[in-house]
Amino acid sequence: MEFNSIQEVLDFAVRQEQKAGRFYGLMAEKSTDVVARKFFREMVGEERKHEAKLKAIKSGKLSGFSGQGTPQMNLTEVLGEPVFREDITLQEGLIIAMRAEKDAYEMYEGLKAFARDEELKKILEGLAAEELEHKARMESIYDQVVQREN
Amino acid sequence: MSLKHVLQPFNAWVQAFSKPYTIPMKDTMRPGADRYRGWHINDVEKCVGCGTCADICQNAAIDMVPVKDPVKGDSGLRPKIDYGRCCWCALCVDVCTTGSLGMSNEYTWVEKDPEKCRYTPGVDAKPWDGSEKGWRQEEGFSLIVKDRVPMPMLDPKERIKTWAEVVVGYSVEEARKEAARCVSCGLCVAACPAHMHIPDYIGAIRDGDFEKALDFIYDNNPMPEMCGKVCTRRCEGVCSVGIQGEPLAIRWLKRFATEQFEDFAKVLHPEVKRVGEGKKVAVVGGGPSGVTVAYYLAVRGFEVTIYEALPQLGGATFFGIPKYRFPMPSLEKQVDLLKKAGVKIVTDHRVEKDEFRRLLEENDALFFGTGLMKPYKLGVPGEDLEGVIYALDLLRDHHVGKKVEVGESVVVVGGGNVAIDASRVSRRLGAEVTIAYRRRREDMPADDEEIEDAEAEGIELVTQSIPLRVEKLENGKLDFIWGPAEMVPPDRPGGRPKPKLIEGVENHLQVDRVIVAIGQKGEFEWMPEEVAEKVVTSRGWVEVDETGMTQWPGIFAGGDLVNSTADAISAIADGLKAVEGIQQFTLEGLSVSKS
Ligand SMILES: Cc1cc2nc3c(=O)[nH]c(=O)nc-3n(C[C@H](O)[C@H](O)[C@H](O)COP(=O)(O)OP(=O)(O)OC[C@H]3O[C@@H](n4cnc5c(N)ncnc54)[C@H](O)[C@@H]3O)c2cc1C
Ligand code: SF4
Ligand code: SF4
Repeated sequence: MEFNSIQEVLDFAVRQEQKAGRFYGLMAEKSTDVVARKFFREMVGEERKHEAKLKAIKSGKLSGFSGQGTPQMNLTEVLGEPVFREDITLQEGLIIAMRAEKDAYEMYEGLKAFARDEELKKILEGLAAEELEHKARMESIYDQVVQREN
Repeated sequence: MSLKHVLQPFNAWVQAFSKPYTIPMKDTMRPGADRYRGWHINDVEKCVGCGTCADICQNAAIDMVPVKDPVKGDSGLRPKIDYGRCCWCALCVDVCTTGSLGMSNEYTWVEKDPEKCRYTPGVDAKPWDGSEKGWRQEEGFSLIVKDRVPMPMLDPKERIKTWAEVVVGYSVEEARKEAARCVSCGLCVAACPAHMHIPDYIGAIRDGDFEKALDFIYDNNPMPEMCGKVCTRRCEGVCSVGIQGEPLAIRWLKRFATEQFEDFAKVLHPEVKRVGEGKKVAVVGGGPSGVTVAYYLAVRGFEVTIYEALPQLGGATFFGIPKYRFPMPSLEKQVDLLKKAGVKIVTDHRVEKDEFRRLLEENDALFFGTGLMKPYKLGVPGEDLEGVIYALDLLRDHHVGKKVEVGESVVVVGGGNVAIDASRVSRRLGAEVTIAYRRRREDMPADDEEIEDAEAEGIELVTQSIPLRVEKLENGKLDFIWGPAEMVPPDRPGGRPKPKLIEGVENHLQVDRVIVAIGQKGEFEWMPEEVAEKVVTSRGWVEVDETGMTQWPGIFAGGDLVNSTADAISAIADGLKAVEGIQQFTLEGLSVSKS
């Protein structure tokens, strides 16, 4: 994959967020567990917020990415790989979300190698950092909700 | 008598017509002695506003005045001293629970306005504020009794051979002696989620009036014998006596009071109006929140039926908490009172969707406190292997009388009360036990005393250990593989520090069982979809308003499903809130919404 301009990269990133939003929307529709269903719906909203942020950057309304620096726990790395079932639980849903953010981070990291110039590289780095931040945030939620006594 | 003496009064009168004057005096002021008891000083950051100084003052020279918002463990009040009354006895300094109050050795201060001769030391600035000299509490001396009366306990080596209660309980003398340490500051009341009348019942125990103590206790806690044995005692954490000494044994004193009576119904005299006559309420779930709602509504005249899926009421305090901490007869006594109060109890009965809908139709209000009945999973590979079990299942099976086996060695994953209970039960079943916890010892949510008791029983604690996976070994055992963690700062100030896996290191532990106790969750399959959709959040909790009511008018909820603290006293506090909410809701003539 090759990108010729920052606009192109951002368009690509917007499409990725839209895809993720659709993915969560589908899971929300199919889930029978009320908690998982509500969580997936919330994730649709989250992806919309990410999309809006990217669009704001693209239109120059936002100058760049501003992660909060949530510390990583490397939790995603040790958890299993649940797949979607209709009776999926919140715990599995959270792991899926953590993995999706990790995959997105790795994708942008990988794309850096194909960046034509420094500026493009910088924007891909920004996108990767943003996804890493999302992963850390999901890990934090997992930690608070699932591992309340651990 | 000489003529001079006779004329003396007239000479004095002559002075009356002369201009007044002041005789200049040389500065002969002598500084006060090093330990002189002069004007007060107070380290207001250290002071917690307990008011003990005001209580002891025999001249009523101290008023407690608000200087900031109250927080847990600090009333926000500070002592204001009236020097028209103070006799500088320094009793207030000697009794001060924090050691914050002192007296400078300054003793002169001229004020024209007597009103100004009252000030709040440490708040109203005075020249002697930084004074090093004067009267202070002497090292090692205090009017407060700092040491707690020790609680007799079974020897750790003996207790792992039995299911007998570990804590023996205070004798009358011990309880009264311990109660006499209380300074009645009441800081504990604000910290207790149910705001129990702590200084009042402690005072009654001190005076030997145990019936009165029980009356105070039952006023807002229908499971006090349980709380007296297993409460998380947030109250003790703020006890002002605990600042320089050991906090009052509030939990053990409550336990003592309840243990004095076999039949609570014979001694309790609830003075409440039966305002709820003719109103019907259904309670789903017989845990502490449900029991609270049922009992207090019943004594107010409501017709209450409580539905419980298990064979006994009590919720997690029945199926989770082991009998060596909370024996069955204690639970039965409390349930017995519930029956005598007129609550209809239906056990072994799980409410399902259709029945829930019917209960909504037939009752004026419905409360559910169905708790966190399902365990969260470890989430790592190998979790489905035979031998990986859940602490909740182990404890529940054990408590309903099913045979449970844990083999010779177990690892329990988690650091809460559930983990500690599963460990100590496993130990009593004969296993060598290791607890693997992801954070540091000081982060463990379990009660400190419980952790110490577990260690005394020979249970090993491995902190900062993150489960990686579980494998089956050829010898039939399980290989519990874990990695070390370093701690990274929490997301927000005051939050839990977070464990971060140090990658590339693997440790192995061979065990017969891996017992998972990392957290619990609510279960909503029994609830009608239309209700669940409205009341359950995306994190699996239930949201209620300040009256305990969910988004569905007439449906109230409480307990572990609702609060963030997940302990018995918070469940009781939720129940109390819902009692008021249900009374308000039903007596205002509103009916349960059917939509
Ligand atoms: C092992 C363990 C140890 C603990 N140790 C302590 C401790 O030391 N100190 C402390 O303060 N707290 C402790 N807790 C927590 C404390 O027990 C809970 O906070 C408290 O019991 C929560 O009360 P609750 O009202 O939410 O209901 P729960 O106690 O959770 O009970 C819910 C009840 O609802 C019933 N139920 C669920 N669904 C239905 C249905 N559809 N129909 C009918 N009935 C239903 C369940 O069978 C259960 O009995 C411990 C918990 C556990 C599990
Ligand atoms: S006794 Fe000490 S801590 Fe308590 S209010 Fe008085 S000065 Fe403050
Ligand atoms: S128990 Fe402690 S905090 Fe409560 S009133 Fe007594 S001294 Fe104060």
